[in-house]
This record gives sequence, C-alpha cells and structure tokens, in this order.
Amino acid sequence: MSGRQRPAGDPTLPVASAREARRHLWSVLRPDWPGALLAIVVLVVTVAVGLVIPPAIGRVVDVADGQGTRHDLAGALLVITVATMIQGLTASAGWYLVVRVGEGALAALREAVLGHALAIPRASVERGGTGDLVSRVSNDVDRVSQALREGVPELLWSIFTVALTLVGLAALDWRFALAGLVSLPFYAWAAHGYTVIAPPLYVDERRAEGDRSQQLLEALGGARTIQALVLGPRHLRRVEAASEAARLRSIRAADTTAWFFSRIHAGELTGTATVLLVGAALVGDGSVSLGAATAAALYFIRLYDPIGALVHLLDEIQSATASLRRLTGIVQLPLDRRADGPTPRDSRLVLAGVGFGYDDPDVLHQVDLVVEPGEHVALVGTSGAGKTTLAALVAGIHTPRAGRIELGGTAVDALSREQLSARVTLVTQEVHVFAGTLAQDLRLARPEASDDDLLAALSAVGALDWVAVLPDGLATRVGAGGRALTPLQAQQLALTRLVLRDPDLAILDEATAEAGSTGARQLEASMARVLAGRTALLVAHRLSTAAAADRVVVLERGRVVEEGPPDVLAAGDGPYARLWRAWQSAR
Amino acid sequence: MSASGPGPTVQTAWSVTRLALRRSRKGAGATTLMVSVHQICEASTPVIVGLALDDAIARGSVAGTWAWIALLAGIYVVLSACGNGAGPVGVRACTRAEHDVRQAVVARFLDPRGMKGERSTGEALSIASSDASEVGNSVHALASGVSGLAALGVATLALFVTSPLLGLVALVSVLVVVFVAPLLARPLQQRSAAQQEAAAQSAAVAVDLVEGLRVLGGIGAEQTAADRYREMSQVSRRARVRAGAAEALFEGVTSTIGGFLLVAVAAVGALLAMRGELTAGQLVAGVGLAQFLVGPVSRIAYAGALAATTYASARRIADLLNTDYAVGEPAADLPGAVPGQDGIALGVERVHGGHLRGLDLRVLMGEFVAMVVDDLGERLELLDLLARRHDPATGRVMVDGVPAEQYPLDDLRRRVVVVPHDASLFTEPVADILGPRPGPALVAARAEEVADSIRELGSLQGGRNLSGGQRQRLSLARALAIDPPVLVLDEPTSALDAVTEAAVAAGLRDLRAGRHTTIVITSSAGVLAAADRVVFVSEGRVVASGRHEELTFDERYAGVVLA
Repeated sequence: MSGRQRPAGDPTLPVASAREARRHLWSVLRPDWPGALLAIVVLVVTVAVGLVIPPAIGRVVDVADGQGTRHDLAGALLVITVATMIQGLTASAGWYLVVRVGEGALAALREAVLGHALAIPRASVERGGTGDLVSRVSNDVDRVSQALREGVPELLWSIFTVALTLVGLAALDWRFALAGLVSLPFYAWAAHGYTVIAPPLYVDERRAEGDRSQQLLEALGGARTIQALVLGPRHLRRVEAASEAARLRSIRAADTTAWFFSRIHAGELTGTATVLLVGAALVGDGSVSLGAATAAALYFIRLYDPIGALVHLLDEIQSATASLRRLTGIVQLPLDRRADGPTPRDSRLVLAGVGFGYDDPDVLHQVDLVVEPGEHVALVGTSGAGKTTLAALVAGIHTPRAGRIELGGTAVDALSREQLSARVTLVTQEVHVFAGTLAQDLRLARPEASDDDLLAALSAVGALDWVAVLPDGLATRVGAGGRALTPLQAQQLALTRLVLRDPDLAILDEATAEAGSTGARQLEASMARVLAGRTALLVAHRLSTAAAADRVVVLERGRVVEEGPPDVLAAGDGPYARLWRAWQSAR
Repeated sequence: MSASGPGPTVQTAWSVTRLALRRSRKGAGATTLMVSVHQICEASTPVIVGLALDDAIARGSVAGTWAWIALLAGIYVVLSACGNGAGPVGVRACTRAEHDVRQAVVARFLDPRGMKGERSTGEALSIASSDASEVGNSVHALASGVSGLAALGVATLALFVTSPLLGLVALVSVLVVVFVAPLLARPLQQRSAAQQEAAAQSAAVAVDLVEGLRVLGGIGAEQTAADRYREMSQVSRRARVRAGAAEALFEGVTSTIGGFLLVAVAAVGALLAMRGELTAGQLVAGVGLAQFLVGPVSRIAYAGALAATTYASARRIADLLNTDYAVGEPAADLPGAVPGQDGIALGVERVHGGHLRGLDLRVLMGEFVAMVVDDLGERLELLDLLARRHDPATGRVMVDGVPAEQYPLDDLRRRVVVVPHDASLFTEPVADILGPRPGPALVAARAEEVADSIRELGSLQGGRNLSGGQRQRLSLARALAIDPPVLVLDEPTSALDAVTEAAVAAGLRDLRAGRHTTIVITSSAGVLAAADRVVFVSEGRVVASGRHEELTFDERYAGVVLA
C-alpha cells in the first residue's frame, strides 16, 4: 500500500514534442484530405469574392464624384449584391465543410486518446493515479477542440483575407500594397507580445485560478469538518488569499497585455495613414481615381479584423499545441500487445520466490504460495504489509522483479491481456459506479448479457431487493449525475460484475468497513455466494473474512510469516493468533 | 427554546449586485466611461477618412492629407489610451466584485449556524465560482450597454448630420441586421443548442471512464469501454456537424443581410450625391458609419444577454444567502452559563426526532463511553444533535448542566468536538493540521509515522497522498490535539487493522480517560472492550448499558457486535 503513495505532480505520463504533435494532428486530418481541400478551396473562393466589393464601392464613389453614369452605379451595386449573395452561400458551405472535417478529426483524436488511455499499462495508473489522465482527456481535449473548432477556421480565414487583400491593393496600384506593408512591423511587435510575453502570464493566471478552485473545493467540501472543528475563519482567510492571488495574476496579465493593443492600434494608424497619403499622391499625379483611393482605404480598413484575429490566435494556438503535445504523449505510449501464450491448464496459482518493489527497497520478498483450484486463500497482515501489492502482481498489473507467478502452469506475464482477463478478475478496494444506466454499468463486464442475465447476477449477490425497487429498474441512471448509491450497494455492483465476468480466479481486495458492521456482514454473505466454485485470493481487512477462508497467509513487511487453516492458526500463538485475539478481544 | 434561528437578512438579485459593486463602483464607472470614449473614437474613424478624401485626397494634396492624418493620430491616441486602460481597470473592478460575492457565499456556507436543508458541494462550488464570476461580469454588461448606446447615439447623429435620409436608411437597415436576422435564425439556433448539449456528453463519459480505470482494469473491460466511448463519440460528432450546419446557415444569412445593408446605403448615398446633396467623402463616411453601426447595436444586444445571465446568477446567490439557518445563536443577553456541579459533562434528555425515540444519556466528566448505534439514521441524527447541527424536535442536550442552545455556537463546539466519520483533511502543512504541541495526540492515534511521512509536503489534495488508514489516524490525531473537554468520535478506527485498532483504543484511553470526556460511536469489539462503559442504542432508545464483557450476554447486543 505504501508503495502507491507518491508525491503529487509526479510526471509519470509523457509529453510528446511539438513536431510529433503536429505529425499526429496531420495523421487524423489525412483520411479526409479531399474534404479538407474542398473546405479550403471554398474558403478561398469566399474571400476572393469579397475582394470585388471595395473596388465596386470605389466605382460608386467615382459616380458620386461625377465620374460616371447611373448605369455604372447600377452595375457597381449589382456587383456588390451578387458578391454578397455568393459570399453568403460559400461562407455557409465553407463553414459547414470546416465543421465536418474538423469534427471528424476531433472524433478520431479523442477516440485515439481515450482508447490509449484505457489501454495504458495498468502499472502506470496504479503508480501515477488517474488525475493527470483525467485532466488530459477533459481539459486538454477541450482546449484542442476549441482551437480546431474556432481557431483553425478563423486562422485560415484571416490568412486568406490578409493575403488576398494585399493582392487586391496591388491590383489597384502596386504602391498601395507597399503602403499597406508599412504597418507590418507593428503587427509583428504585437504578435511578439502575445506569443512571448503573454503565455507565461496566462499560465500563471490559470495556475492561480486552479489553486483558488482547490481552496474553494476544500472549504465547501469540508464544510462539515470545518464547522465541527471551528475552522471557519481559517478557511475563509485561505479562500480569500487564494482568490486575491488569482485576482492579482489576472490584473497583471491585463496590465501587460493592454499595451499590446497599442501596438495593433499603431499598426492600424500607420497603415491607414500611409494608404491615404499614397492615395493623395497618386490621385494628385492622376495615376488613380478617387474611387481607387477609396477602395484602397476600405481594403486596408477591412484588414483590421483579420490581422487582430491573427495576432490573438497565435496565443490560442500555442496553448492548444501544449495540449496537443500532452494528448500525443498518451497516444504514443506503447500498448500491451502481448500475443497469446500457452493456454493455462486450470486455475492453479503458483508463486515461487516472488520479489517486487515500486522503487527501492522491495515491498515483497521471496513470496512462495500455491492456491489449488477451488481453494479460497485469505491474505492477512497489518496495513503496509504488501497485501494489496501481492494481489496486483497476481492480477498481472505488475511484473515481479524476482521469481515467477504461474496460472495453470503458464507464467502470468506470458498471457495476453485478453487471456488473462478471461480467467482472472480483480475487484479493487476502490469502487466506481459508472455514469449511465445500471444495465450499462453491468454490461461493461459482459456486453452480450441479457437483462435476465443481469438480474440473475444481481440476485446472486443479494442486490435484487434494492434494484427491484429502483424507479426504472435496470434502466435507472446511476453514477455521476444519476442516483447516488450507498457504499454497500456500490460494492455489491462490483461483485455483480465479477459474477458476470465469471472468472476461474477471483482476486478480491476487500473494502474496509465503511459500510458499517451490518453492511459488512451483508457483503460477506454476498462474497460467499459469489466465490463458491471459484479459486479465490482475498485481501482480508476484516478477520471474519479470513476466518471463512480455507487457508490464511499472513504477510509481515513483505514476507509470508505464517500460513495454514484459520482455525488452526487462531488456536496457536503465531502472528495470526495475535491479530485474531486483538480483533476478538473480549469475545 | 430556539428550534431554528431566524433567516438571514433577505437578499435579492439586485442587492447581491449592489453588494458586488460596493467596492468596485468607481472602477465600473471608469471602465464604462473609457469603453464609451473608445467606441466614439472608433465611430469617428470613417468620418475622418471620408473628410480626408473630400478635402485633400480628391485634390491630390499630400500636405492636406497630413493634416487629416494628424487629426486621425490624435483620435487614435485617445482611442488607444481608453481602449488599453479599459482592460486593466475593468479587470480590477470585475475581479473585485467577483471576489466580494464569492467571500459572502463561502462565509454563508461555512457559517456555524448551518443551513436548513442540505446543499450539495457541487452546487455550492458552482455558485461560488461560475455564478460569482457572472456577477463580476455585471461590470462588463454595464460598460457594453452604456458604451453601445453612446456610440450608437454619436454615429447616428453623425449620419443624420451628413444626410437625414441616409441616416434613416442606415438605422433601419442596422436594426434589421441585428434584430431580424436572429429572429429568422432562432429555430436554427435552438436546434443547435440542443445538439451542442448532446455533443457535450462524450466529454463527461470520457472522464467517468478514466476515473474508473482501475475498476475497468480489474474486470478486463477496457476494450468494451473503449468501444462504448467510440459509439458515443460518433454520436457526438454527428450532433456537432448538424449543429454546425445550422450555425453555418445562420452565419450565411447574417452576412448576406449585412451585405444588403451596404448596398442600400451605397445606393441611396450615390443617388443623393448625383443630385449634389452629398459629396463623395460624405458617401464614404456614410458607408463606413453604417458598417460601424452594427457593432454598437450588437453590443447593446450582448449587454442585454449578459445582464440576463448576471441576473440569473445573482438570484441563485441570493437564494443561497437567504437559506434559513439550521440552528440559532443564543440571544446576547442570556445569563452566562454556569458550569453544572453535578459532574455530568454531557446529557441527552428524552430526545425524540426522525429516528430517535426518547433517547436518554448521561456521560460523566472524564468518562470514556463507547456507543453502539447500528441504525445509520439513528447514528447520524445523534451525531447531528451532539454537534448541534440541528435541535431536537423534543427533549434537549445539556453540556455541563446548561442547555446546549445557550452557548454561543463556536464556544459550544470548542467544548464538544464532534468529528464526522468522513472528516476532511485539507491541503496544509503538518503544523496547521495538528497545532503547536501535537506529541501526545500523535502517540495516542498511532500517527507519528504518518505525520513524519508528510513533514515536508504536508497533506496534499485533501490527504490524497495518504492511505485510508493513515488519513483516519491523522484525522483522529487532529481532534485529539484540540484536547476538548468532550470529544465525540464516529467509527474512528474503521480503516485500521485489528492490531492498530487495539493500540489506538488504548492510546485514546491513556490520553483522555479520567481527565476529559470521550464518546466513541463504534461497532468494533477492540474499541468497545477498551471503554469504561458501553451504551447500546436500538430503535431510537438506550436499551442496555454496561461493560462490553457484561453486555455480550445480551442477545441483541451480541447479534450486532459479535456476529
């Protein structure tokens, strides 16, 4: 047990390089490349069509300036109307195409991430916990989704608009395009601010907000304890401090980034002024009309939005890249793809000279143990003796450092994951009720089970009486967002899943007596029924469980110190007898 | 007897918003002013470009153009200063408002008087984070709305000055763009919202599966879970694409209507110009202003939407603040409690409630009493009474011979510490958990090793860096370190093995017996055997009392404890 305790924030899951992340992104986009190409073509058409509008307005200005007829005016207005309609159509189509391609890629990405997350070597989850993984499949997937849904389309639109507008300016007169480019350094300067200076500030801000959430969660979640121990003022101060710290970070980020707007403003002013000046000069020497100068000014004003968006997007894309690297890190994890080994003859379990440690030093030393088919063996010992670790080794979660573990004559680490899971089921100390209907939860254990199968399994663990009175029976929603189950009910569900798996070897890491003594007794009764006819290894926290087993194995500091039938051991004066007497004390 | 305290002062959504803005009123005002000036400057840009076209560019005068550029630059300085300043000033006001509301919510949630009716942590968390931040956003709503109105006013005025007809056309077209287009698109948007919601589910499923990863691994269900997720993800994808189609159509319609606005203004402007009523520059200014108008009108609409969400959040906060107290503080002028002379530290007198049926209990000073209460409902009700989380329907709880409700709550809870079974540990250094002199408490709870193991890092994430048994021992040591006159513990050894449990029971006894009063609700024989006296509660009453060895002859007791 003690081996699982590791400092928080231990980076157990890898992060891919930016290059690998980009390659992975490309690999999820590639299958629909015709769709992606079409989307880009439609986007380019949309922007290109929009380009005819400023010159058309320029012609309207020329007419207004007395340089044309009503006929020219009608022509120009017609051009704007038609362009607007085409643009509306292609914008809709383009948007839809981008969504289709993007959502396809996103689905592929998140499915790959979750598929890998679920297939991750169990040892790394045992050690690192699920916190980091949860944050990747939620926060990081969210951030990448956000970027792919909004950032990428906007980015494409901005790039095309800027590029094509410069073409448009050049078409009026190449000197207009040059004038427009004068603003470039200011935008580059602003981009530098957003990409180099701002990101660490935002990271800081998010971290401070995370701390604040943590403090809030502790204060609100621990309200009962806080009230009982009169800790209210202390926690109110802590929330206040965390909230103030987050506030200061937000203010600092706002203070710093505010000046980047000025750089954008300077770019807008410089560009507009230069275009106007060039316009004046060109109108003066007669090389362009007033309408063309107007068109140039309008073109440039149209650039404000896309350039501003580009600069902002740089920031978002950086943050999404960081997330993508974390996701790619998971997808790149090597999966356990062991081929099938020799089929085990039976469910005889043999441990010979098994040693194991998470780090140094070893938690288990020279463990020898044989469990005959159909036998129930209880592991007993003080907390930290290595019971849970031994169970995890037998379940194939860890590979022993020394010695071997065999099931039916085959080494456990030679069995494929499928072979192993068909024969061995581990009911962990940790209970989790999966969100969804009760039937969906149970079918995780056996997808093809009929409702009758489920009810039969529930009946076998003695859970049918409370399931029968649920409002929607098997269709009742349980888990997060559904009906809350008692600890006893949740543990009975875990046993029901075991019945549905129907393994030869059952490993039970008994939950501690949170359900109260009556609950514990009900669970013991359920366990007895469930284990009948199976080989079982029980991590016994309650000695009544051990007393019901065929044989007891006592672990102390990672070594087997005693083994034998429970009644025989209890009658002696070894370690088990001492535990038994302490537990029994005044019986 | 004060069965329950009076409710707090009644708050409304409006008073919550006032509370939020109490310290940020000036900031909110300054933000609004700056955003408004920024908006007005933006409105003047097309006008100046138009004037420059007319006055200088049409003549090809570079020098004349410079003059207009100087004006433009001047406006840009103001625009930039106000725009830049609005960010930091606004953030200060928003976060201050948010902070103040959050503190009020947390203070109410942690108030010793408690709340009538349970509120889930999730709900409270959502109110203290998202609703508080929405109320903070009232600063933005105000700034958006007012600046939108200001800019709309100035731009419209400029248009009407240029040409009343042009102004009218522009204004009507803008109203069409902003109000009619969404009307056309509303069915689309509603469909889209429903589908977005369906799509969001796949994220929740992913988190749920990963959180249950160990359990999935144990039953070899990883592949089944991955297949199930893939199905959900594809359902999500299809919903998203359908929602996207609706949005795409909406965008197309909006931008097309916006284009028609431009055509209308350009046509009217050109006709006016041809009749000599408008110059080319005025036309450009008109077209520019008409396009600009879309902004302020959308800002006003946005402010309205923002105000609606702010209002809803403020109402949720008001509801929370208005929740009745579960128990009341004594009136200040009650005669001070004189500790009883009868040697009884804690008395429960003929208490009836939801589960208890005339419970009577007297615990002497210095006594170490264990209680067996096998029914969960009775157990929780008893604990709530002793902690005075609520008052009994009839009967009373006496502390040192004085009714519990006559003590100020904090005082009461310093005399009688009731530790919940699932007491929370917090992220804090060991010294904060255990106080300055934790030695004897650590020894008694057999928690010295636990404290040593977290000496450097402290307890992290609610003690998640500790095992269940370690958390339980540390929590016990924390309560013992307070060293209260009366300590009530609920199943304090449930996660411990038999040997450790016996040691803890002995440690408890050594530390407190004869000196302070201890009550342990437990079903564990190891603890029961260590107690001076065991009180057996069944069907809401005390049915037996005596030493554990004596009681084991009682069939009902043996049935619960020894089975």
